[in-house]
Amino acid sequence: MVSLEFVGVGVRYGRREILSGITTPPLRGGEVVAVIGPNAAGKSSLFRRIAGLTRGPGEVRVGSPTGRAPCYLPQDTAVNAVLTVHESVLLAKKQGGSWRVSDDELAAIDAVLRALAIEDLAFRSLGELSGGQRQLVSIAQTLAREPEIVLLDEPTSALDLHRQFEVLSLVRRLASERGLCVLISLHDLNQALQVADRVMVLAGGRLVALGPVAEVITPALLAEVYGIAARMERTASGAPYVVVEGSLKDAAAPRQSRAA
Amino acid sequence: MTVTGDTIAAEQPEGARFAYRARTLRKQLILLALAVLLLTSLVADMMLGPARYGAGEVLAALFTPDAAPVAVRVVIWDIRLPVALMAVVVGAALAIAGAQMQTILNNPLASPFTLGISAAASFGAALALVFGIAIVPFAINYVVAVNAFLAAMAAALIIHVLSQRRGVTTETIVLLGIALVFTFNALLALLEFFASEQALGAVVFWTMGSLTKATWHKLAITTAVLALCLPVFVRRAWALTTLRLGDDKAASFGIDVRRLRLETMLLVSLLAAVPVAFVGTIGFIGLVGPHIARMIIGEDQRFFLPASALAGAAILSAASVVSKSLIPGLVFPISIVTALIGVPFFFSLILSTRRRSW
Repeated sequence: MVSLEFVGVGVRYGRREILSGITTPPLRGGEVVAVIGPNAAGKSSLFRRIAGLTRGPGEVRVGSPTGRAPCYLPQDTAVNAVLTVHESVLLAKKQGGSWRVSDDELAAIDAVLRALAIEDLAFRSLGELSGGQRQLVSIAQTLAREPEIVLLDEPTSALDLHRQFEVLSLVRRLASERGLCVLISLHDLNQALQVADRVMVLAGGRLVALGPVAEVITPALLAEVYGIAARMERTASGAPYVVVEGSLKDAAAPRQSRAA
Repeated sequence: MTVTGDTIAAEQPEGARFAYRARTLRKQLILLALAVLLLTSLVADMMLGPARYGAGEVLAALFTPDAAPVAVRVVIWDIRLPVALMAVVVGAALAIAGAQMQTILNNPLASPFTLGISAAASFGAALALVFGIAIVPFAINYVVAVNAFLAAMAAALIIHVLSQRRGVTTETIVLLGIALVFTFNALLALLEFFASEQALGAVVFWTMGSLTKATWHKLAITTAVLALCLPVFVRRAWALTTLRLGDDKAASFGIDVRRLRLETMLLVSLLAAVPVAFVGTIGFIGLVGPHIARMIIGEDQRFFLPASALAGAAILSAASVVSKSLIPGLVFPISIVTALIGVPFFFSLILSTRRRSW
């Protein structure tokens, strides 16, 4: 069974402490855990620490029957390589193997591209892609690794609404069908409520809360962590969602009146 | 979304698979065309010299030496073949060194020349030519080459040691390289200032690069270094290509990025230092060979690596042909020719291509 557990995990850059004392019970395969928190809360640093890209105190315990390392999808997907989408996904698949590419490997790449509905981009150069397309290609690379633990750092930040829905439903299905353990950092709390089983809240480099989404995301927590007034509502089907109180137009109005 | 049943299921992949195979075949044909170009240039290189031979005579002397006239056989085998092959091997070595420097430093400006390795070699050679100083006292026949090699390796070592410091990015390394170029150029100018007229001439000639002093022995050493480095790059082809997706992505694919960069830098230093030690400074190949390869074949190292080698070898071999044919009886310094014929060609390639290469 796949599992991921943190024991006193921290991250330091020089003398600056970015993250400290993160301790959790094991996160299990088949589970989607949303990591939320304001900017600079330490979400990306936590992902980089799990992926072994930074060092720090504490221990990240990875339980994997196949011994595969967690697969990290970085937030920054900009590249200037002269490679096609197909070549870049092939790279994810082929690490360490021979130069020959088998039909099975090509079939696996095609399947991943199709699952993300980007097969028409296969032979486009990476440099020609939009931000959203690059993000989808990056997700394709991650999936081509056939990971057991996936760390997705804001994977939908550059995607349109339709693509966001597609990617999040794919993530949800992969977790359920293949028993993947998914950590996904999101700024959109309603997406977190929709896709995640549990939510991990970070603020100021510390773990504020970890638990089932509907229990953790409350008006009190949002006021504490984000400093906003919000209320929870439910859709007709009973799914919870966050409504931020106040209006941006109201906030802008006094300034306009002063200018007038 | 076309996800049903098993989330990522293989179904009807024929189209993309066929397209991939077709593109691979196209790249193989490009490599073949480059190889043919190189072989043509190699034969042309052996046809030219104080005595001019036809292609038939050259090929006959190469493949049936016993049947060829003695004079032709001696000229081809003892004089022209080592020089012509040296152009090929040095061109390939410098282009591969440049290609891998650009890959590991993620910078299109990286090359043995721009990182100060060639400038250091010139300084080392000048130490021997001006003051007769040998960095190591033995190998007196090769004192210039050994000095150049050791100075080049020292520059590579400096770059490497500095690059290991915390907070040093790949951009910083290129800047450090440029600083080294200026430092060694200043030291070289200082040596030239104190040099006798005869020594000054020797230094200037050395820094212009020349293939004419190639021997079978020097060719064997340069080829051996190339043969040592190539299999490592071949084995690391996937990992090196992945570096171009960024360090984080490469690390998340399970690549030890730091180690890969270190290993590659050491091999590349060797690959850049040895040819420079034997033939002097040839600045253009390490920068342009890989750029041409990238433009015509992309950055998948399975094709980029051989294409860089072939492009570098073909450019230097062609430059050797031109250096002998401009004025009959006079061989121009190779570095001047590579720059003069290469730069306009390079400009036209950059300006005519719509494909973004960096």
